[in-house]
Amino acid sequence: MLSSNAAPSGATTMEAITDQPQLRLTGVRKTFHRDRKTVEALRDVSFEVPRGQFLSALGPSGCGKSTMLHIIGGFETATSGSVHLDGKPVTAPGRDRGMMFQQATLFPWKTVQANVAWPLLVDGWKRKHARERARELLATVGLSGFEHSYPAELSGGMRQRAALARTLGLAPDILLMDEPFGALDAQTRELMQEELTRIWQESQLTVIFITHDINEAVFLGDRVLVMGARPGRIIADVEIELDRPRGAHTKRDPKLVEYHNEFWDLIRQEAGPQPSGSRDAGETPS
Amino acid sequence: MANVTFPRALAPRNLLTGAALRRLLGVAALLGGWELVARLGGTRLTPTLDEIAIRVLYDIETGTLLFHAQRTLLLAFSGLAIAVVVGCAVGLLMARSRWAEAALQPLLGATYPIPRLALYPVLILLFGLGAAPKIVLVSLECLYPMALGAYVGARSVTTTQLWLARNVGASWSRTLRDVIVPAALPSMLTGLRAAAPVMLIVIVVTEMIGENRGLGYMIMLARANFEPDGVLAVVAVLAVLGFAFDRAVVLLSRVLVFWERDVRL
Repeated sequence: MLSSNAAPSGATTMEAITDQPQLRLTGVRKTFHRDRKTVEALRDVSFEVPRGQFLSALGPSGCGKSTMLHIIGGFETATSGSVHLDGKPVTAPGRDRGMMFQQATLFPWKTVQANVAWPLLVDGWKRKHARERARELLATVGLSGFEHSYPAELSGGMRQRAALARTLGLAPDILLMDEPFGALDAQTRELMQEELTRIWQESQLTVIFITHDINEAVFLGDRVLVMGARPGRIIADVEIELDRPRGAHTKRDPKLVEYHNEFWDLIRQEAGPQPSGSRDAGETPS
Repeated sequence: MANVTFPRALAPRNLLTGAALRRLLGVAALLGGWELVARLGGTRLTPTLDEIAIRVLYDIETGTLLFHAQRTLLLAFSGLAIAVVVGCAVGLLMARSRWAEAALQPLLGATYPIPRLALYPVLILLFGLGAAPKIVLVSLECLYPMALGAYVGARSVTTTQLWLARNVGASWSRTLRDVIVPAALPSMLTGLRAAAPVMLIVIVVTEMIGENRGLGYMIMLARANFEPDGVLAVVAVLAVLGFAFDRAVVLLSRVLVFWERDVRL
């Protein structure tokens, strides 16, 4: 697996932490209070992510998958349970976890390059170096030539590329992606998925990718967590055995269709006519 | 793809197009109506446009207009500057702190309908006659639109923008400077646009009371001398000033808030 390959770039202290999972969630529970009622957004979510893994979290809207990501990011706190990153509990947001939102969240008053350079400047980089690094990052995501454009001049896909470049600039250990392609049109979406696998392959980053699109989850992930709603919880945890590197050809792989059907069945059961008590039905699919 | 060309606002090209001329129709009708009345049934109380214009030129020539206008504008802009600083601070604070919002919003809401001009006698007692009470009254009056603009603007900052700042590790002051203030800027400028005419109204009214300088005083002097053309000359100058300030704020908005193409002030 990828986790055993020492990354030549980025990570520095590999030796001590290779065999322990990079990220561990233990019994994470999250409840909200709405109109005097308590809503359980997440129940007993526990899993581990080894370094370098691309983990997709798949689930219908309202299954708490975004909430889970926000808790890992440190933006929200769990009602109970814990999140550990490299053995240390997560309490607040940090640059070690680069967050990408569904909306690109670029500042409209800054050029693309200035948007990407901003986190670097906040980190105390010299203006010149930040500018150079931003240009490199933009080249990585295929946005060379758009350095001086404003976000309003870019398409949705290009904006997300810029947001990805900005997030990569944080030099994070983990990329947290909250349905980043959810607002894009179908074609752009497919292209972005292929771009992301390419960039991920080169970066060796750990990624947690939230989506409600089954094909997207399977195509991108080494592993897919399937989540159910009300309360949000993990109903299946499946390793994806599709060859790497993946690309356009993977989308025609018959195995992808098999995974698709398997997950669709799970989700169908979950969203069945009556959300009754029997919810442990599909624990480990064939 | 969208096309942002922000210095376009400065291009004077559309100044003389048909659309621009149509926009002058209302003003032309008003002036024409006045002229008609003045010429047909006019008395000394209704000087014609050319009489008013001649009076304006005369006041410029003698230097009186400049002398009084300088004083008026100095006080007015001093008051406005205070209102901008304090109003923006109050608005931003209210938007970003629940405590400040809870404490200040009812206060502003309750005091807003009070005619603050009625406080002028009190201010004179407190600060004496002269510049101070006028500056205070202008800033009090302009505070409301400025605070409201900053408040609405800072409230428009999205959760994800703030989360991004936290993810990046931006300090509180950095977030304010790089995220909140730019995001609030369009709305702050709308506040400024509302404050500018208020500023002129308040300063002129205060100068009409117990003062011996300023455009408001000029009006009272001309009235005392029974010179309606003198009164209207100052009114005309004030109209031009008010219009100029408004266009200046609009221009400033287009330059500063170039990314908001859809907002037409």
